[in-house]
Amino acid sequence: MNPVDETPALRVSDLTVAYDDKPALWDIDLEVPNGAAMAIVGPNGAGKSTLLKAVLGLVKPAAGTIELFGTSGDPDRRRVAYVPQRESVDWDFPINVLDVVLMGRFGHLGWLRRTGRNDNRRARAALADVGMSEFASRHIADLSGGQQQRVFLARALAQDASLFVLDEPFQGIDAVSERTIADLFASIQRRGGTVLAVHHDLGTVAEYFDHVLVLNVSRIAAGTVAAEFTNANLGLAYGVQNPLLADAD
Amino acid sequence: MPIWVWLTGSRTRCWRTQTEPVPDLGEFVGQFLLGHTFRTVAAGAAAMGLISGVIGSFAVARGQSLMGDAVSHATLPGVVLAAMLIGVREPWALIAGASVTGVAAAAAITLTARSTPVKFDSALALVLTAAFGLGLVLLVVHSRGDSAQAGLNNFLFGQAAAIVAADLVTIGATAVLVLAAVAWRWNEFRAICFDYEFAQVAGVAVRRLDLLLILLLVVTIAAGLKVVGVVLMSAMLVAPAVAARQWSDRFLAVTALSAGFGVAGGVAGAFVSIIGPSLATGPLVVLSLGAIALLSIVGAPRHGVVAEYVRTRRRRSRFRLEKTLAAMLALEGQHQSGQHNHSAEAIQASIPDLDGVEEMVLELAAAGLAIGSPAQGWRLSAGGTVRARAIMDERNIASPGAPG
Repeated sequence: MNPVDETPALRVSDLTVAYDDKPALWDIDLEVPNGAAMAIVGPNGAGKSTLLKAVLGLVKPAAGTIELFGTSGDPDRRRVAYVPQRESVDWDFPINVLDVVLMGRFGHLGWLRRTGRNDNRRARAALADVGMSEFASRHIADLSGGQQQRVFLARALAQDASLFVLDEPFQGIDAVSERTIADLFASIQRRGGTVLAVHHDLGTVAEYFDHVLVLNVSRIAAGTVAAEFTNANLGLAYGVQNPLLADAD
Repeated sequence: MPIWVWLTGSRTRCWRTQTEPVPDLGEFVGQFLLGHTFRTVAAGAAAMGLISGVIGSFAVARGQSLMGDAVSHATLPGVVLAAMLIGVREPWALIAGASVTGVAAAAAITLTARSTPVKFDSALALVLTAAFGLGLVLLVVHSRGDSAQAGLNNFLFGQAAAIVAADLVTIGATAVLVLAAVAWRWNEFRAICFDYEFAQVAGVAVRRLDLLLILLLVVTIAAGLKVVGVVLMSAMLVAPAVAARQWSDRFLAVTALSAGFGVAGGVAGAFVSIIGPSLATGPLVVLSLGAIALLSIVGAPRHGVVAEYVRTRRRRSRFRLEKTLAAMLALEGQHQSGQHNHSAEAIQASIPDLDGVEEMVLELAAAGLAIGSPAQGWRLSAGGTVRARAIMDERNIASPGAPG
């Protein structure tokens, strides 16, 4: 086997993050293998978004290390693409769809800081990948929630990253967008990319992901969906007998 | 010192004396427009309007309109201190002094909001008023010992007429600097205004650029103090950007328009202030920019209040007509033998929650979608039937008489 492939996309060791007296994350160890699609599940306040932010370098951990593609310290974050929650930006901002997607290229700009033909090509290809080509010159406020989410995904794709970090990508979107995003996960994985996403809907974990982290401040379980996405683990995280059934109603 | 003296610039230019001959206004304005003074003042006000429009569009898009207000008030102590230490006739010294306290205020607000339980708006109000109070105290202290303090009063409400060649050089140089920086880092500035965290992860040097954007805001304000004054400076940042946003959904167009509005408001204010009875420039600039903003909010073609009202009215009347069409189709579907007329009252009775059906039937007839007369009753034309079916399909309602 190729030894490079065995280096995990992400390795988190002994990670502790605290905003106040109570830790948001306690002593997390996690390995996300190259080419995996991992869901992070857990109740509210479990530290799911905090884990993403620590991986992205947006919050400073109290302890622990984060290793991306085998390098720690100050890893090249351009290999990581972030899809934040849709609510995190002002959708009335005066900008059109293509210009948002082009922002994925801004880590690659030359010293004149202009986007070039290649950047434009990458952005348009990314828009085509999420089925939004005909919306390129639309104002972002004119889009539905699912379309906005797909634009954010296109922006991440345009970055040519290897690890995609998503915060609740399926939250409040239409069926077509949900299908498109699920298909994109598969195509990212086929190209050797890795997906790490906070996910709320326990009913679709097995459908969209092959790995899972069950989290509640500390790590409850992590591994393949087949092995670790069990009622016992979910019960430990959510503190109820059968969250899978409770959630499905 | 009474407030009207500040407002009107200075005591001596406040009122015309009786003995002064009344000039012929047309001749006066004509000579004046060609005059050196006016060109100096207009160029200064235009350059200021230009860069405050540009920088303002970033501040407004970011939801940080009030930061400009705090920074501008906080420049007052810096200006007075610079005047005390170096001299009121050194524009560079005044701008430098203003920038130092302006940056200090921005830093104080940001740090207080970030690392204490005090919220951003409270921190802003606190720093703004404290710094302005300090500035006023310094101004009084300073004016006791120096008879030339009238020059400093202009910094409160602005006095474009006081702009001299040396000011023009500093304003021009600041404008070139600001525009060059914005043009160079345009893409990244826009990115951090839209989505700071994504930009950071994507590899944009967000902290440095954020600081640079604040510095550009501060030097813009510092350079413009003589034109509009610290009290009203923030309007020059906010009003053109808000007005411009109503006309376009593209950031480049919004910024360009904002710059244009800034130039127009600045020049108009300066013009009235020097031909008028020596009114302070600041309030006049703010009034012209306020008028531009108001007109834009009311009358802009897509986002304006009027356009929105018309759109809502049209939408309402369209849905009312569609509902009448659907009701007529439903009535006709009750009869096996196709064509059958119904009186307006019968149609109205079938949709009691919709008033004024008779009028709408007449409107449908005028549009060729219904046939008949008030006496004989009404039925759908061929075109009307097609439209009604299409409406039902679109709303996912099984239309009567349609196959399936």
